[in-house]
Formats: sequence, C-alpha cells, structure tokens
Amino acid sequence: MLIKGFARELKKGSAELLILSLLEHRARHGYEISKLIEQRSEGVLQFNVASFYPLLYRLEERGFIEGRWVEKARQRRRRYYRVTAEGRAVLKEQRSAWASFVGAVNRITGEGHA
Amino acid sequence: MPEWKREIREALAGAKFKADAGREEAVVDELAQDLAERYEDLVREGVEEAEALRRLRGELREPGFLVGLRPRLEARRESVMPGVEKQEGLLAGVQRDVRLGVRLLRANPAFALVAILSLALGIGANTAIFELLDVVLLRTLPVAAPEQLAEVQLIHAGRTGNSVARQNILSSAQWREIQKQRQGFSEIAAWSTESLNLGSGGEARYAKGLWVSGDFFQALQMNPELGRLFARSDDHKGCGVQGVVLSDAFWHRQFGGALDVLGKTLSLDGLPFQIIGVTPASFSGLEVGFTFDVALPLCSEPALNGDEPWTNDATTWWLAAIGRLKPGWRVERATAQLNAVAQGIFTATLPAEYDAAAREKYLKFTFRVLPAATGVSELRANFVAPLFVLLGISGLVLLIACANLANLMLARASAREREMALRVTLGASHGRLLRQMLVESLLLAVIGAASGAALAQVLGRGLVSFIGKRIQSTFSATVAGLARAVFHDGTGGVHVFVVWRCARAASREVRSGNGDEGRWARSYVRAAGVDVEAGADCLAGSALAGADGRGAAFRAHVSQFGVGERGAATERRAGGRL
Repeated sequence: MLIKGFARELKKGSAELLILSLLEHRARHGYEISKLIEQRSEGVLQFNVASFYPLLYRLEERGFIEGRWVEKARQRRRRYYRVTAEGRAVLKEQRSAWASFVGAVNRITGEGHA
Repeated sequence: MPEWKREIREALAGAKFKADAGREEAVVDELAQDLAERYEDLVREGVEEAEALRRLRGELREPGFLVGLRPRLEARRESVMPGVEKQEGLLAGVQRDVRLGVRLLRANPAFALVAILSLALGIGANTAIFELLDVVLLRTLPVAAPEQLAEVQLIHAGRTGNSVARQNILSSAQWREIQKQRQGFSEIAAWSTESLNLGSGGEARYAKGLWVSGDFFQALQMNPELGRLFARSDDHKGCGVQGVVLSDAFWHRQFGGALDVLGKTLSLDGLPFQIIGVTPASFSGLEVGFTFDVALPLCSEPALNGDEPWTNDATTWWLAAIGRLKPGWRVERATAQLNAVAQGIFTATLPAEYDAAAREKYLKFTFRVLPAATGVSELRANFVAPLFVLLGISGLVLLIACANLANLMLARASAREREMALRVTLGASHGRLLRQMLVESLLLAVIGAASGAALAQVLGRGLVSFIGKRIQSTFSATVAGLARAVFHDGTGGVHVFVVWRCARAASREVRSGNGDEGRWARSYVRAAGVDVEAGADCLAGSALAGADGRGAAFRAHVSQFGVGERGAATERRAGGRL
C-alpha cells in the first residue's frame, strides 16, 4: 500500500515532464500521448481518462501547451497539442531538475555504493 | 459501441458548477474519442466488452474527474478583446458600446430624430403638466406640521352683503364668534388680502397687502427672518397705524435686504407704518399663485379704509380662517363641533338691516372644515380639472410615442439581423449583445429624457401664461424627478426582466442546436424595442410620482378633490355679492 502510494506520487510529480517531453518534437492528440507514456514505460506508467485530461488541460491553461482541432482526410476531427515556447523553457528546466534529482537519488540509493 | 458522449454528459451532469456550453461540447467530443479508442484497444486485447465498459465507466465516476475538469469547463466572463486572456468586469467596454450606439444614431438620423422627438414630446408634456399640478395641488405650505392645518368654509344658499376681497368667506363679526368657540383648533387665525398704495403722492405703486389676525404667525408656527412677527397683543381694537411685517422678497426688492430696515417707516395708502420684522424666505403666503409684500394686523383696517371700515360691517365678507387642529381632531369632527354652535354664532352676528327672507337664509348657514396643508386656492377650482384632462391626454400621447418607438425598433430589426448574426458568428456572447442593445436603448431614453426636460420648461411657461402668470416656476423639483426617472430607467426591473428573458430564450436556442441566427438576432432587437418602451413608461411614471415622493399625496388629493373641492368651488362661485 505504501509502495503504491509512493509510485503514485512519483507519477504525479513527473507527469508534466512526461507530457511536455512527448510533445517536444511533434504535435500529438490526447490518446496518443497517453498511449505513448504507457508503451515507453512498458506499462509502469498509466493514465486513465479521469487523471490524464485534467492534467493536459491544466498545462494548456498555464500556456505550456496549446491545442487545436485538426481535420484530416478520411479521419475524425482530433484535437492536437503542441508545446509552446514557454512550455519548452519549462521542459528544459524540469528535465534538468529531474536529471539532477534522479542522479542524486541514485547516488544515495544506487548499487555502486553498496 | 457504447454512446460515449452520452456517458460523459451523464458524468458531467453531477458537476456543482455552471459549465460553459461551448467548452463542455469540446471536452465531450475529445474525451469521447479517447474513450472509444481505449474501449477498442481493451476489446482487442481480449477484455470482455462488458468488462471494458465497466472499467471505463468507472474512470468517469472517479471523484477527481469533475474536480479536475472544473477549471476547464466553468463558465467565465469573456475576455476584453479576442485573444486576450484577461477577464473583463461587468462594465468593461461600456464606453465602446456607448460610442457604437452614438455612431448608429448618427448613421440613422431620421430614426434618431423620430425616436428622440417622440420621447421628448411625451416626457416633456407630462412633466410640464405635472409641474403645474404639483404647484396647484400637491405642494404643502412651508410651515411646521402643515397636515394639522385646516380652513373654515361657510356653506349657504345665497347671502346678502359685500365681497370685497378674494377671501370673501367670513365677516369680522363671524370671525370673532368663531374665535371664541373653536374647540377643535389649538390655534386659529383670520386673514385677508388687499392692494395697498406705496406711493405718498403722485403715481400709485401698489404692494400686495396681507391682513392677519394677531395669532396668524403663531398658528403657522413661524419664526421671523428678521425682527419679530405679530403677536396677539398687536391686534387689538383701535390699534390704528402701528407696525408692518415685510415678506422676504419685498424686503430684498424694496430695501435690498438691508439689516437696518427695522424701525424704518413704510407708507401704505399714505399712512406711516413702522417695519417690525421680516417673514422667512420660504413663506410667500397661504394662497397658491399669490404672494404678499406686507402684512398688517386686522385692527389697522379701519385706519386705512376710513369711513366704511370692513371690520365694523356685519355684511362685508372679507376674511378667511385657518387654524391648527388639536391632536386627535379630524376635519369631520371639527366641522361637527362648529355646526353644533353655528346657530348661536349666526344669531349673535345677524345683520340688523336684513329683512325676514334674508334673516331666514342667514340663520341656515353652516360651516365646513377642510384640510389646508397645501394652502388655499381658487386656481384649484378653476384649473385642476382641465389639468387632469391635459395630463390624461399627454399620458396617451406618451403611450402612443412609446408604441411608435417600439415599432421603429422592430422595423430596424431586419436591418440589424445580419449585424447580430455576424457578431454571434465572430464569437460575441449573448450577454454582450444584449448589453449593446441595452446601452443603445438607454442612450435613446437619456437623450429623450433630457430633451423632454428642456421641452418641459418651454411647455411649462406656456401653461403658466395660459393660467395667468400667477404660478412661479418650480422646475428644480421637476428636474430632480426626471433625474430620478432616468436613474429608474437605468436600474428599473422591468426592462432588465425583459432582456433577461430574451437572453434565456436565445441561450435555449443555441443549446438546442437551432442555427436560426436571424431569429436570435430578431429577439435581441425586439428586446431592445420593448426595453425602450418599458424605460419610457418608467420615466413617465417616475416623473409623475417623482420629486419628493409625492405620489401618495397626489392620490390623496385626487380622491379628496373629487369629493370635497368641487363642492367648495361651487359655493365660491355662488358666494359673491348676491
């Protein structure tokens, strides 16, 4: 139970970074982002509808990403999100902070010190 | 395949906030696509359809779902400008609405002219007539507790004698008897009027004289502006030429408001009267439409009228009586009390020269006590009925003007449908469009009311000259009433209610997906038309009941006039020299 709660907190803390990272190079729709997180984390990180979209909308409200409806031939109209300039700056900061955080945690908990 | 849009809407129905319709639609669309793909993936992975459906429904029922979506969905005010995130206050951009309203009026000068003239004529006529009604009927005397004041009237079927003043109700003998037997009055006083010559030789210059009994000013509970007013001790038989009290207007006109006027001598009909005091500026007499310059005690009358003084003649009707009713006494009770002693009064004052027929008539005289809070007036008898007729006609004119205006607004609807539809298409909220309509109609109402106020002055002066230049202009109170009326128009409930209903109707149309934007636009314009009409009604009503909250007094006087004043008027007409 405690481990589950710890994992949830980690997921919550890294969610923004994950979404911004996936939108760094190309625009994606919501389900695509959610699916990619699940695939690339090999099922460790999963977001359901109730937790993912509020997060996505919050990023948009803060101006880190922006969404627009796109219609493509023979496809349903979908809302694609792309990272904004402000979002890129935030991504850079978060990525750097995350790397140093993980490095620090690894240095303390890593096998190399055992 | 489950109906995901319906599932999401059901989940959102539990929200405790008001969602913006457009945002909700977009979120439902996006989430439905996501859920549909998740469902397909789950089924493809081998999960039972029912189980997949249960899982995804469960996600929609998670407590954090609605809380998380609230910032996205909650209705908020539109931004000041498209593309600007900052939300606007309730009145932000009103200046732009006003500017647009002015531009639209200038672009349609014919419409603007007809609309403003219609309102101005309706409001101006009503205001001018009400102004006169106010003076003639509603305004109370500027004395303490005017509601306690009552006048004594004489009821008779014809009498023999001389009516030498406008106040031709009582003889001196009758006044003295009434003074002795006035149980219902705590104070009672007699008064009359006469023109007095100010010149001491050469060309005659007349002052408006006011004869008063010694307790006149005490009965009115009045304090002097300067010096002192008459007391009972000043009014005694054979007082001859004594003091005179000036009105404030006469004091300023004749003496420039000099403080050393006390003790100076004023020549009246060639006799020197010493100035003892000045009345307050607010008091100009008891008669509506008549002012006075100088007040003299009744006891000085024989000195001025020489060989045939009115005071000593039992058949000269020259006095009126006004008094202050005792607490708990009403005019009906005072009338009954005076009539109970009337036989004794008329027996004691019976003129010796009357023949048998005249005596019989005289002894049948009775009294009636009438309220005198608004002073006494012959103008009421002569002009109130025509003024009411005029007021009724001008009210109808205002109604017709309003109907015309509403029609004009509706006629403009076809021209503005495209404008409204375009603005809706560009993203204007219905609240914003309704505010624009409201501002435009307010603009018309304010300009119409201001023009009406200006017109009321002209019409008022015309009516005054028609009545005989005896009524002073009183426009300040009327302007205050109009200002209040404009305020009523701005905040009154009627047109806001109409606009609110229109907004609700428009919103329903959008939600139900009826794309008839022309119908929506027509509803805005129709709302504006009704709004102007309701606003103008409000203006007229407020102008009528406006200044100083005289609505209740107005109604009271109307009912009183219907019963009492008409009878008194008939008597006055019959009460001249017979």
